[in-house]
Amino acid sequence: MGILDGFSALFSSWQPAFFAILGTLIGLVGGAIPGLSSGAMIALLIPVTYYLDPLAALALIYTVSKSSDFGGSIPAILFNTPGTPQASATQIEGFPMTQQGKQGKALKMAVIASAQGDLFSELLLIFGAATLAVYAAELGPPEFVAIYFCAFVIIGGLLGKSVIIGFLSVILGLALSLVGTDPITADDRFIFGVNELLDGIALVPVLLGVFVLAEVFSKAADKAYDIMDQPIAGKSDDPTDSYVTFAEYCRVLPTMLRSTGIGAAIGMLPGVGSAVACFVAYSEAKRKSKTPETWGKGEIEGIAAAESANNATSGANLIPLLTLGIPGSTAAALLSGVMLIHGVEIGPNIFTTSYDIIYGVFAAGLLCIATYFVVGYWGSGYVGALVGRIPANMVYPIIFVTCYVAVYATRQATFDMVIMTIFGLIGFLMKRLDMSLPAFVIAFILGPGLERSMRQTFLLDEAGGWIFLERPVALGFFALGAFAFFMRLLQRSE
Amino acid sequence: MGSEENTRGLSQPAKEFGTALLVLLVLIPFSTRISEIYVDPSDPGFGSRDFPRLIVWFGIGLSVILAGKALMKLQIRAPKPRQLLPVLSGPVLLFLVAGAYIYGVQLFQYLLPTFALLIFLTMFFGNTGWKRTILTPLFAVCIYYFVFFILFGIFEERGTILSYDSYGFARSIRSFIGLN
Repeated sequence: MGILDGFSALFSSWQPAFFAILGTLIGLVGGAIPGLSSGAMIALLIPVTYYLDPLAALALIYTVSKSSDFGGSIPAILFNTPGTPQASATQIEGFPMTQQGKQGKALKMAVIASAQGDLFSELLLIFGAATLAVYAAELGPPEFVAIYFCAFVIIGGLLGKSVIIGFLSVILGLALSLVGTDPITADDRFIFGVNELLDGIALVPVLLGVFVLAEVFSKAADKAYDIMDQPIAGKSDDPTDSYVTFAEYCRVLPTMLRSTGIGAAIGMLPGVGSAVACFVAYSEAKRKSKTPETWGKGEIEGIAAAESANNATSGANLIPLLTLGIPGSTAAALLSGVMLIHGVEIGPNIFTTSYDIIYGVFAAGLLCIATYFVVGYWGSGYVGALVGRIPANMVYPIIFVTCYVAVYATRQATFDMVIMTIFGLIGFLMKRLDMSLPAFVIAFILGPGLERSMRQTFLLDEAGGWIFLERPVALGFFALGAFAFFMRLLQRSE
Repeated sequence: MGSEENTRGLSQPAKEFGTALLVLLVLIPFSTRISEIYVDPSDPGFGSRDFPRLIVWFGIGLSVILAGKALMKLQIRAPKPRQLLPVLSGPVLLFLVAGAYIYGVQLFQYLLPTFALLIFLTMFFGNTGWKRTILTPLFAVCIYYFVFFILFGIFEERGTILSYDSYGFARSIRSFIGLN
């Protein structure tokens, strides 16, 4: 039984379980700090993972990403400021509840819905990913070319306002992944006389640059440092306003289950983030509601819908990574970066080559859900009060300097600091131009895999390209990519 | 085009043109180097130059189309470059400060440049008072030093102007607290 082995691996030494719990707490508090995205937080922690064993490193990163999904809802409810973009849907109903003195009820609803959605998603990951991976392990280079094609079309084409800008984000990532040496001949290319680039552009400076430094540059451009200037509203005198009653739970349960399904389904699609899932689930719940006029004024069902969908994406979006090697979200891309650093093979073979590690990570996910449920249920108010005291204009200087110390720590190379600064500027420009940072990073990570698969495919078939016609799975993925592309074009023309 | 205006003041055509420009700035130097890539004469398949060529030229083609499309829209309503200056001044200043910091670390090792950078940044982000602009940076530098140089045992590069044996100091604290 894989998951029991996972728990055994997680508790085999103090490190993995400790870092899983630490990651949960960091994610909870960090997710609640507006302006610090979960991607930025994870990227900042990646250098620390160099000094941990693989399971502890992955447990840390995975639990931060999971609990920050819930953490973002705390300031959304208490201060009308979402800690993460996906918490915006929670804010619509959460803050009016706070204004009515029902913040305790709103926070408890958020944590119940989050944990329930997350648990379903995690179980889907544990029992679904390994099953799918058995089939994925049979795939060859032509199928992987088609899968990469499909992923890039979906990631590049579906995100953002412009299809071309999305594709150019992918192209930019792929182009920069070419720097270094040829994967077959091992000759150098595109290093422009800089010998430090012979091993390619290192992943950590790129991640820290585009996800963290770019965010600090953006804040410097917007001069928006003071985020939370509202005190937490007073509590209602009615004791039932500080918790979710059994009747309320039963009323919102169907909505939570439906939203969990929506979140898990959307989470499995590469490139479609949890923010989309939250708003789809929220809109669907509002549409089905018998009292839509109460929505927007503090409807608890809205919080349940948004939060269960939000957290239901967190496990599901690892399914493409673990079965096909395609990171479908920013968190998955960062997790795949940590896997690469620790020599953990990404893709379907992970269930055989790194059995203990991957099931240990799943166990860490379950431990994380239990931890943030307990801490969140009884301690969200304290987390909110703590975050409310953090001066936003002190956060950015600390983040900026932490980036530089952390990136130096990874390889003790000053050159990495230079690379990170350049990518910080590139990331800032990309954000300003509405280019997709996740698409860029995912393409940067997958670029070498795509090139290797393409060249292996053409070595298999000297006639060039016809081999795809003999592979139904490859044709299926090409067709899926083309379908997604045309649907997007159709949507644009409407 | 009014609906395409966003809160950051850039219209959609301006963003499209900027995207094309950014991608071309990266891809054009790449395109000049493709012919220098070594090709194995016995390679029967998709050769060393083919994948980079596919990516680079597809990207350049797409960027040129996007730039052309955006330029046609921009002609209708010219952009105002002066609007961009306040937006870019902060990041450009931080970029230059980051460059100076990296150079400073090479000259004076880690401690002094990091302390100076933190003082500058706390003031840049609007903090005032000695507690926030002096005490917090001092405290933060000590925390960084403890975590990265003592706990993780990272080797600090020697400065070319100011050089001190930070590693020996960190090692003695490591052995004092029982680390190898």
